[in-house]
Amino acid sequence: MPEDNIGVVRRLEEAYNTQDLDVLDELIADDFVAHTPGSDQIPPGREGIKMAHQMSMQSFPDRRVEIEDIFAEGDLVVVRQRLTGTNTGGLPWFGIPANDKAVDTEDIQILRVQDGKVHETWAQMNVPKMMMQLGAMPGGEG
Amino acid sequence: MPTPEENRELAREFGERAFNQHDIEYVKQALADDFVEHEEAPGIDTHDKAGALQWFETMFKAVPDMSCEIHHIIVSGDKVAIHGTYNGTDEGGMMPGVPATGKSFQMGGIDIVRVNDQGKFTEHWGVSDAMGVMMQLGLIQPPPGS
Repeated sequence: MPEDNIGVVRRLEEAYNTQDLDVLDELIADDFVAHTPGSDQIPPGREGIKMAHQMSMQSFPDRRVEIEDIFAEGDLVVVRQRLTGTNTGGLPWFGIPANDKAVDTEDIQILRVQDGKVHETWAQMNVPKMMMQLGAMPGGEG
Repeated sequence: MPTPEENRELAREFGERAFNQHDIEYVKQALADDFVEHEEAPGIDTHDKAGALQWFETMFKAVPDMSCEIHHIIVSGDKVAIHGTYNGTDEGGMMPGVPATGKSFQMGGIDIVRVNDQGKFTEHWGVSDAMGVMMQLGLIQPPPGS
């Protein structure tokens, strides 16, 4: 079972990387809830994460996520990822214009998977690192 | 090699004795001598056991009331993930270069540790809601869109 749940998370990340968002209709449960800082700013459920992904694609059209570690116990999957992209589209909700700066940061997520679908996620992303790389916070090379 | 249940108990004990009791002697013996820190922390220059101990000592001083609440512990093989909330008051300037704000914070975090054959923590990866903490301490403004 944990191995199947890892497979679901791998398929989900691959769907994001290849812009195959129809796969989300299959892999994201109707009762999906995201417990991520900032997730109160987007609509709930599947539509919200599609929207968040589209916003991220607008900011970073070359967005790429690589899984660096993944493991599971029962219905919980842990995934640690490297997130890269170039800000050619701007991050209007942070007040950051497009500036061609490269971002290379990380996140760790916990996903609750049952019957082949993701029902709940908890995620933390290294946002300060991204903001420094974007030149929007002191301390970075920006 | 420790069993998954032993690793789960180690993570629980670390939360209690490090983050709730601030027992630096316990932290010293819980970390392996070849400990590797993968999380970058402002003001900490080395990614070894000495750097990790420096981080805990700094944090215990800056946030004397720090406590943790663990929501999930997920174990597989020699890896343990810990999802928790860390609460405290910035009494001593927890952000390097920034004077104490005296404000309280609640910080979510997800950590991954690897346990070696001797039952010591030998590697750590972690991401915390540092952005949220900076907003709670009043050091940065929330994004204009929120």
